[in-house]
Amino acid sequence: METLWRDFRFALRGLTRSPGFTAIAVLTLALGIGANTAIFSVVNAVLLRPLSYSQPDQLVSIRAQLAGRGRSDLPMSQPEYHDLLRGAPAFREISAVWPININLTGEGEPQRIQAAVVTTNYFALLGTAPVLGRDFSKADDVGHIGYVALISYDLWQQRFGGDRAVIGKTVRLDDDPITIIGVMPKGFRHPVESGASPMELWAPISLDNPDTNFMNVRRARVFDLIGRLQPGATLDQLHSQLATLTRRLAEQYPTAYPAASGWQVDAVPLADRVVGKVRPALLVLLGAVGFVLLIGCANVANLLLARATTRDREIAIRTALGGSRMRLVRQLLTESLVLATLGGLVGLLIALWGTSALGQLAALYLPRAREIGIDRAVLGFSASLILLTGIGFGLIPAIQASRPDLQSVLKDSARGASSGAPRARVRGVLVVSEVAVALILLAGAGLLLRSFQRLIEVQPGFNPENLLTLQVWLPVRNEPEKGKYFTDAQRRAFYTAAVEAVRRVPGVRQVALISRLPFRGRADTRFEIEGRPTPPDQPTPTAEFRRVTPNYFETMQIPLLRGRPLSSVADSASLAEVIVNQTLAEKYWPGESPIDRRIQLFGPKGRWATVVGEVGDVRQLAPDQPAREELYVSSLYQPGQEMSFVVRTEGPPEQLGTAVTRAIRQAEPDQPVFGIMPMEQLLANASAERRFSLLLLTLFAGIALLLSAIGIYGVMAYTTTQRRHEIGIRMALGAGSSEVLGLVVGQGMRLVLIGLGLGLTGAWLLSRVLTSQLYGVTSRDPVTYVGVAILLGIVALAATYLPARRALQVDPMISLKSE
Amino acid sequence: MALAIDPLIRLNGVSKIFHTKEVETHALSGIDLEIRAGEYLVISGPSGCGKTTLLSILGLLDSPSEGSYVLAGEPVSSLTAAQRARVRARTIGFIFQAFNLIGDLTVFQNVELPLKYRGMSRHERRAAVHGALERVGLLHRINHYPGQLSGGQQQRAAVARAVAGQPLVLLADEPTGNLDSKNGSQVMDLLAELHQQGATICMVTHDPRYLKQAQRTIYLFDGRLDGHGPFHREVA
Repeated sequence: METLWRDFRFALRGLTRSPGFTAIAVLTLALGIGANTAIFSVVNAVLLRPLSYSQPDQLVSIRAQLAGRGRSDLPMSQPEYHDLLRGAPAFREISAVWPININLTGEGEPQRIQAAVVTTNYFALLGTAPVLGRDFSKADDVGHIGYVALISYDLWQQRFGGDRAVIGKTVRLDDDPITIIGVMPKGFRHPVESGASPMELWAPISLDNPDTNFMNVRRARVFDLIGRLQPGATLDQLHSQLATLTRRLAEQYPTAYPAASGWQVDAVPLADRVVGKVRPALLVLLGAVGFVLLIGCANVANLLLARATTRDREIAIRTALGGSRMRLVRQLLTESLVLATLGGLVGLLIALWGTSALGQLAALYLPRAREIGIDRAVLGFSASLILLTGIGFGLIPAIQASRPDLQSVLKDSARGASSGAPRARVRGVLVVSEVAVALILLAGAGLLLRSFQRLIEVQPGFNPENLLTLQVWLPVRNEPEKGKYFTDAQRRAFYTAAVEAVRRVPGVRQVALISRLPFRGRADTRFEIEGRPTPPDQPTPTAEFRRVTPNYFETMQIPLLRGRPLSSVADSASLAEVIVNQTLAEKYWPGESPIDRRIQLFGPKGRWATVVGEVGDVRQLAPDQPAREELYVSSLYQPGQEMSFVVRTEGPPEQLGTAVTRAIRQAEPDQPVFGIMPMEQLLANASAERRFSLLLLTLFAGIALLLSAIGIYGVMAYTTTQRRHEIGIRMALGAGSSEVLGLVVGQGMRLVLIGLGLGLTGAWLLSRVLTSQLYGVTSRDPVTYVGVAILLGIVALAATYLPARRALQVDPMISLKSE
Repeated sequence: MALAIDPLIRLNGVSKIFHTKEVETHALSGIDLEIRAGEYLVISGPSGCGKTTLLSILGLLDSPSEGSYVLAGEPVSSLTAAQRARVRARTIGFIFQAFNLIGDLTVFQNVELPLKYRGMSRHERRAAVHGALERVGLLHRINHYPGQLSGGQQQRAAVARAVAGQPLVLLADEPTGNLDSKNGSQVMDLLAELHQQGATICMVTHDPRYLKQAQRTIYLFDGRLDGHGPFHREVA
């Protein structure tokens, strides 16, 4: 113990004596350990930490897929919920969740909130009790949507100021009175929610009650089902029961589940569903940041090797005095561990900052983003990292230093000939590795950057500049006929007044309405083309379906390719008009005009409409997904409950948000206006996940590039200093500046080229891990590979050129005299 | 090796002053010196008298603070560093006390080095290196590294490097300083042999044993030529 303490004090003294070396090594390690800790805190919160529900490993998520239509991750219907309860005994219980957006009014500002209509066993199934008030009971099973609700802790704090008297208070949800009966604990989250819109209210629904029969249709897929397995039941057993059940149901209900639709029911652990598709991206980032640490370790190892050279004599004396090799290695390793610990402590500070920044950055799309933080697991990871890095970067230099060749030390000092070949080799290997790893990171970042560039270049099909978007939802009461907006005429009156009011806002050029904005999700419908009925064994064609005001295309600057706009008269005749997009027209009438063709909307029993125009394609779903078939009908006569405003402005659209909201409130003071966002922001949000990966990977690649440049510079500067004598000899023998530059740069660039070669191979082999995150470029895009290799080559050239310039200042007289 | 231009080297009023923060050191003062082609000259004197500085100026490793230097009929005292490097590669062969071979290069590569800087073709270099190593009796060590040679062998390799390009003048700085007497004598015999074959040699030494091999000895004292030094001797 005493020896350890002595080693520790000696190490500390040694590091204090070389403050420059210590500072560079500590900062390098801090950057590596800090970045790794920060990313691990995300991985820990999102992927590793068990869900914060009781016995989370028993929880499964049940979703459907229609493989024949290329649709997956679909909700389930009410009859299917009952089928599962009866036909899959592996379930102990199942809760159905119907996520909805709803208007909250009655106290404070009207607000649009994310809510869930759930079966009353929801909280009991998850094993969480309210912190205030009570859970749902069977008595709340009143049918339809219940008249009681539990609210989230955040909503309680923000809207009701944490007042305990909130219990029993009545608010209005879509104009229906609802009584708050409980508050959920802080941090309780619905398992599957987006960070941008957390669940804030839960209301009960009874799926056994005859009142809910309006949803008792197999195609009404609205429920997310969460199941809890029987103790001891396995996922395999469940899968087998589900396979039997789906086969039986498909035979029993051939109309609902035609063979061509490929209907299946999937059950996955709830944790997998929560994590969704972010796992590969997070693992790539963890790998990338690990590479950054490797480069950092290589740099510090190089510094230690250089430092060991200056300590040859000290170590030789210690050896001569009987110091054992183990003892020397231990002493040198203590120094590395002290360095790693200092680096780790500073790294933790970086991680604290980084973790909070990552949490905010990822909040938009990352599940469980609010859980990101530094806990015991993260601290344990950092401690392991400190230990591993301390040994990792210290071991080779310690072993090298502990076996000084006394003779060669003397020979070196006598003749000044370069003889530190083993160390030079190790240094060379480290530089090669750094370059290779940096290239892999740069290639990854380069691919994401090129993808992103392609994505930015994508034309969404309209002009997103100076375009403000916002949404309204006209409430639907539990007894709809009692609502203020039950009839078409009531809704028409509201929208006409609201559009007029918005149009009068200074700075507004045009206002139009659409039932669902681009990038706000799917809204499709089935249709038939006149004279081409779908064969019974084929799925009915579907298209994205939007109700729009006739000026929508002009406001959005979507080109009208053929025909005319929708009629601007709000009468029932307008229902018989439809506009199709280019993709639909080319698919069904290739080389012909779609004008005056007839389409049966909403499937075989729907109404017929005549195509009056063909417009350009719009990427409705996401900028990186090609346009589907699209159908537009007029919203003038039959506007929907939910409509979005698109407002073309003269200046920056974000400045008009408040004025436009106020204008809509003139038409209806209790009307929440939500989703107020410039279209460009909406477009950017649609790529938030890519942006997150891109930003971090580019940051890591940048750090890797910087560290590699520092590493190459350090090694070359050190080598050049070591070779001053040799350079002096060469100059005395007639070497000019170009020869000296060539010598130093050549030596560095040889290592760099080997590193580039290995890095390109590594990047090539690892490229597949990025495939899912790329758009418009292949994972083996040669332009990116060559580009990043050139970039790294240029940086490396600069890093070798500076020491080479210094070599030119070698005075042969002085270096030969130093003999 | 001898050249028609005579004298091969002419120094007129050469001085060298080193400036430090507060002190001005006169390393050489008013040196007038001519060296004829094919001559074997020894520069001698006590430590710190300026022998090595003079040799450095002669070898264009340094430039005089004052005075002129004409080498093979060309004024060279005010050449740029790059021009000096070219003249060095073409005209001058160096032999150092500490051999100054490059440890990471083989004997062949060491000897080849100045020829590369001269821009000779690979074929010419190969022939010249073999010829030089044969002259110093080291052809059998051509692929060895300096660390694998004895001190005497290393200095012979250094001599081979100096003569391989057939320079106009060989400058030797205490070539026996790091050798035992047997190896020292062998190297000095080698230099004598080279001189007999026509080489112009200018050697710095303070070892009286080797003074007699030279045709002329000049004596430096406090940076000045002292014609009356103890070993001063003119060519007969």
